[in-house]
Amino acid sequence: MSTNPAQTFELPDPSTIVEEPVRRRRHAVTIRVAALNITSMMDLVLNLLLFFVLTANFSISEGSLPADLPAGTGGGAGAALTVNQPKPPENPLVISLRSFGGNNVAITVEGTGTTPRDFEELFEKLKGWQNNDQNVSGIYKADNPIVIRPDRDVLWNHVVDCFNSVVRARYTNVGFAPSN
Amino acid sequence: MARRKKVELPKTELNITSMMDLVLNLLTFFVLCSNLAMAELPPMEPPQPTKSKARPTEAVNKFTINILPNKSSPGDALSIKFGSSIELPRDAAGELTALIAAEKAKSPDVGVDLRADRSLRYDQVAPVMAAIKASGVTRINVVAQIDQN
Repeated sequence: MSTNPAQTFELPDPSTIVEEPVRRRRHAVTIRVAALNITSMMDLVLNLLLFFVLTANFSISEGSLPADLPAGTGGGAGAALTVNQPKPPENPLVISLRSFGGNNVAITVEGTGTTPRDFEELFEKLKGWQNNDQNVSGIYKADNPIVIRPDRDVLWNHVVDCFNSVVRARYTNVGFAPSN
Repeated sequence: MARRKKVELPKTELNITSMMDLVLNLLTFFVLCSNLAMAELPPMEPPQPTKSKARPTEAVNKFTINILPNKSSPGDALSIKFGSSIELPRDAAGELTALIAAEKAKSPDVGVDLRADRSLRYDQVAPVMAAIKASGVTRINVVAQIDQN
């Protein structure tokens, strides 16, 4: 201030000196802002968010195979899941599953002597047997009753795999037999 | 002079208010949703068929029956979970029939999702299927993994 000789120092009016002495000297920069320190809360919240984002799975990978089982499946002892049974069906196709321990399973289509190695092969066989517009020489109609008869120690995974093969081959009349 | 300059450096601060709003909203969403999903679907591994034809389940008038696996003796069931709250011992097929029948009496076209672990033996699942059949429910779905390809 003293370096500028041109500047004249003018005494302020006494009334203004009383009213705003602080503002003149310290400017508005030093006015304090009341703020919460939320750093640690943010850390916590972001961690929680990450945890829930990663652990939440909305079971999108899961679906269901409709087993709206129509009337007349199986017949006799082979009808565990059928609802109405007006009459026993004429010619049920029975698929037997037998466990070989561990993850091994033996598939037998009763009455035909067919023993598919896996459920993919079972699907191919069933598809080839079905009588429809594309395959007029097929021996089974789409609503021909099919009974899945697993042994008691067959894994549920294989039972559903077999059920899936039958549904994939577009058969509509599928039932499960009680465990034997 | 140099000292004075140092003092007057402007404080750089990010305005995170809107981000905080978003984060807290997301947090609430995930907390609530994951709890709701867990209630009906206890963690287990549903069967995984080759070339699965399973379709995403529709949430229309149905309840889920879970058969939980016993981790310490593979193949055995631990318990049967009916809906989101009731847990029955694994041999309580009779009680299960009564519960499903009561549910069916409330709404006649109710459906059942049968959700069993893939490691279970068939004789652990068959009594439950028989119980569902005995209660007279006609809409039954078998829960399985969806084909990822």
